[in-house]
Amino acid sequence: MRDALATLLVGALLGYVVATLGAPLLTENSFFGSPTESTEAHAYMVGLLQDDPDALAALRLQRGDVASRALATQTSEGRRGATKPLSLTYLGGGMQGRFQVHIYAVEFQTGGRTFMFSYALTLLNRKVVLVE
Amino acid sequence: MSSARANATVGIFLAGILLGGAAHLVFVPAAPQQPYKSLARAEEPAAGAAVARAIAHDDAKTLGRLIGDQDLLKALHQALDPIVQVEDLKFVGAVEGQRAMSAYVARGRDTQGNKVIRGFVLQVEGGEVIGVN
Repeated sequence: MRDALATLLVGALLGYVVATLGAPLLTENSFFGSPTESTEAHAYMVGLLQDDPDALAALRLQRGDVASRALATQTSEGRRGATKPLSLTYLGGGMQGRFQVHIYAVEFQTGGRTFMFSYALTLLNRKVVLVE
Repeated sequence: MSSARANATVGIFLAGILLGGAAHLVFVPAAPQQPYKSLARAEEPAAGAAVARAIAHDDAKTLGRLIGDQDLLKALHQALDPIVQVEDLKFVGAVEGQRAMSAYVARGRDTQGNKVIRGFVLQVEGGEVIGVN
């Protein structure tokens, strides 16, 4: 009985570790085709739409100096309320080595008019290195 | 060890693996809620597909015919930069709002021969590509 429990426990530990390590590979590796949306890219886009410079700085590879982050905060406070994000749609992405590209379409409303923009985020080691 | 006992041990071990995998699903934090709605996916616009084909086939003549506006061609150049040789161009998704937006991922090599990946979006309206981002 004790042996059986020990075997079950070892199996469960192995299953947990494999699932923990394997889940990100399955979702973000192009082995099974295009990668699915990265959590970091999604969080970056939400931070962008919610004008959250701290969240954006935390997700960038280069966090930037304190003065440039203060400037970003001022700019974001001045802009807040001027535009209202309406939708955020993940279009797709790709992977090349350690680089990932994730593309989004965003709808904004400004002054009663609706505009559509697209963003292509490039990530290196799960950090945003380029926003276009 | 009898064959039955060995089989039982392997069975218990496999059951443990399944149990561990299930525990991961239970204990892993759920993905954050999407605070914004998503637009419905659309088919790849024909104009976008034609431009993508010309890029993938390295067909500058056709590309120049499909995109007459030089500013758009410059924008496309910037979107692909630093890729100088496209090895693979893949349509990844499109949405239809005020205009259609068709997204592509390009893989290729820069002037040094390094592998590079770039993503860009073609904006299509009235059967023509009117914007590149």
